[in-house]
Amino acid sequence: MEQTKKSKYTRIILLFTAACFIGLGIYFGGYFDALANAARICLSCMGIG
Amino acid sequence: MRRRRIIQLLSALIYNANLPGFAAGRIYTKQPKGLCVPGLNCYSCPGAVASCPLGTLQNKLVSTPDKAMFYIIGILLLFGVLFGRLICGFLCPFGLLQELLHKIPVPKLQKSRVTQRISYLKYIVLILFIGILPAVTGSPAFCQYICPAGTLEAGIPLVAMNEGLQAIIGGLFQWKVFILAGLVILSVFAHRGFCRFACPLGALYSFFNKISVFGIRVEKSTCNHCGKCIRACPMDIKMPGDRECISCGKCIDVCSRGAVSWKHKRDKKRKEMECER
Repeated sequence: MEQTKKSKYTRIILLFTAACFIGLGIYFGGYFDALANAARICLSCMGIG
Repeated sequence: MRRRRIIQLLSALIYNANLPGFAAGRIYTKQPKGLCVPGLNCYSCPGAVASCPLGTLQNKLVSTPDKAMFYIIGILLLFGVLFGRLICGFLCPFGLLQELLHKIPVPKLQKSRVTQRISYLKYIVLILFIGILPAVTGSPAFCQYICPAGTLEAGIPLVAMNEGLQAIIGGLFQWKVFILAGLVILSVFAHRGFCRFACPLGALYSFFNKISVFGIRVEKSTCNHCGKCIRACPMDIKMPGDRECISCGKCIDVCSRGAVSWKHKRDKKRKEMECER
């Protein structure tokens, strides 16, 4: 299969997968997890905890 | 090139739009903090209005390893497929900082086969510090032990503005400042040293470079392999558009045969030609 067509189909599949994953993430509440552990990341990046 | 610099500056400003946060020494926690920016920009930067994709990924591995990481994997896939490492070239504040540091007029370390080999180190950093160590140790290893963007954007400003934090920082903070200082010095002598040799986010996006919607492509039928593009490129590329390419566009300017072009412009031109037929 021509390289451009291969890339095109790969892109479409990955974009569709990305959309599904993001949708599932929002549905299951993963969207908010970043906020829930803010303190942990904050202290870690300063080398505390 | 000027356009790229403007986009870099704008993106750095947009990512860190909460300017009062620097004065207050406090992290912004309201929306859209739940969103991820495409480049390396620490969540804990007082100015950051959104999250870092690497920090979010490690946080997910550490905090809720039993839950599938749908959201962050979807976001990284989306960014990768759309932009690949164009994000490094246009949308990463730490990349911008390195480029500005590199303008300091001192003798420069030239790229070579050795630097090409060293560039594989970032894949080891990705696997070890983003994948294995967070899952095994329960700590966001890259954020905690390495991330220079975190130290510069978050660690130093927050410690400077909070006396309580000044009292409890220890050896780990000193280690991170040492890493940051080393990378700052490296950037003066070697173009984008961190991006080329250690950035796990660049490593991740590199896998998408060939298929990304936006980026650089070489028309093989037009290319005469003169090598001008490779010599002009500051990264360790073997060909424009490969895994090391950050789509800065310098190769497009030097190609005398027009073989190197932006993907979206080439696709647009092809469609126009097909319509004419």
